[in-house]
Amino acid sequence: MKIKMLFLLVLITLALGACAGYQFHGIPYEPPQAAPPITGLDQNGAPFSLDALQGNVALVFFGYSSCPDICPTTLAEMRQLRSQIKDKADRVKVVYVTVDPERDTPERLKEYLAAFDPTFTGVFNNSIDLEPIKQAYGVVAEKVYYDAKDTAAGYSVDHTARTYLIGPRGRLVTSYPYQSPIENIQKDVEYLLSEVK
Amino acid sequence: MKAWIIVALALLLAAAGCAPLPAATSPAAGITIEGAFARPSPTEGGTGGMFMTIANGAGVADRLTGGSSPAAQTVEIHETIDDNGVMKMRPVPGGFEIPAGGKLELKPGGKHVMLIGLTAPLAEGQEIEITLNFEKAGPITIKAPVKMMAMQ
Ligand SMILES: [Cu+2]
Repeated sequence: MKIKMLFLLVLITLALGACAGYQFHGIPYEPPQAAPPITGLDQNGAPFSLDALQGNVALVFFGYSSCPDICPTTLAEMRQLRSQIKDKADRVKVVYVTVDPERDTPERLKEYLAAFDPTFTGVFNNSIDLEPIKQAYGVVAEKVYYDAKDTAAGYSVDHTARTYLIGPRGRLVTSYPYQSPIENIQKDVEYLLSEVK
Repeated sequence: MKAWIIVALALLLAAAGCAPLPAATSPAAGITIEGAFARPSPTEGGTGGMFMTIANGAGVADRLTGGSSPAAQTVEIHETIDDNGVMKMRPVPGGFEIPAGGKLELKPGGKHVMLIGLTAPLAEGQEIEITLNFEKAGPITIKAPVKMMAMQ
C-alpha cells in the first residue's frame, strides 16, 4: 500500500515537472507573438529597424527626454540590469522610442541617452510614423498642456511606462509595468539568452 | 483551564513588552531633509527631478510650497500619478503638507521637486544647491548630489 502511494507520488511529481515551462514575469503574451515592427532614425541619424536586433534580447521602452522621473528611473534600471548581466550584456539591447517628436530630435536623444548608457539605442519618428508603432504596442502617450499660471513646464506627456521584452527570434514575450524588480527582468533575459546561443 | 488562561495572559503581556515604543514625544523641532538627490538630465534648458524625505519634527504641520535654485530657472512642486498604467505628471501649485511629527516622501514615480529650464546639464557626480520654501519653517538651503538611483 505504502509503496503504491509512493509510486503515485513520484509519477505526479514527474508529470508536473514535465508540464512546467519557464514562466516569464510581467504580463506575458500568450502565446508570444512576432514583435510589431519598429523603425525610425537612431540617435546618430541612421535608419533603425528592430529586425536588425534578432539574435539579441531587446528591452523596448517608450518615453521622452523631458520626462524627469519615470524615464530616467527606467533607463537607470536598464543600465543596472546590463551591468549585472556582465559578459552577456552585449546581447542585451535597450531601445528607447521617443513619443515626443515635437521636442526630441535624434541629437537630443543622443545627448540624453549618453548620460545613462551610450549603448542604448534611441529611436526617433515624426508623429505620423510614430502612431502605428504606439498602437501596435498599446502605448498611450498624450500631450497635456498645463495652465500657465500653475507651471513653467509648458506641457507634459501622459504616458504608459511598460518595458517590452523581445526574444532573440523577434518574439514579443512579455511586458513589465513601471519599476518591476530588476531581478525578475534579469531572470527572463538570461533565460532567453540561454535559449539561443 | 485556568492554567491555560494564565499562560495566554502571560503571552499577551510579553507581546505588549515587545511592542515598539511610542514615538519620542519631543523630537528636535523643525524640518529635516534627508537623502536628497537629483536625477541626471543631460540637456541644458531641460527638466530635472529631485527627490528626498522631509521630516517635520515640529508640533504643527508645515507645507513645502516651492523653491529656487541656481541650477534652474524655475523650481516647482509636482506629482506623478499612476492612472491605470498611464503616468500623469501634474504641477501642484499649493505644495504638499508635512504633518506634525510626520514625513513627506518625494520619490521617483510620485511626488517630486521639478527643476525647469536647467541652466546647465545635470551630470552624475555633480552637486546642486537648492532652496526649498516651507510655509512655517521658511527657506532651507541644501546641497544634493546628482545620481541615478536613491540607493547608490
Ligand atoms: Cu515634474
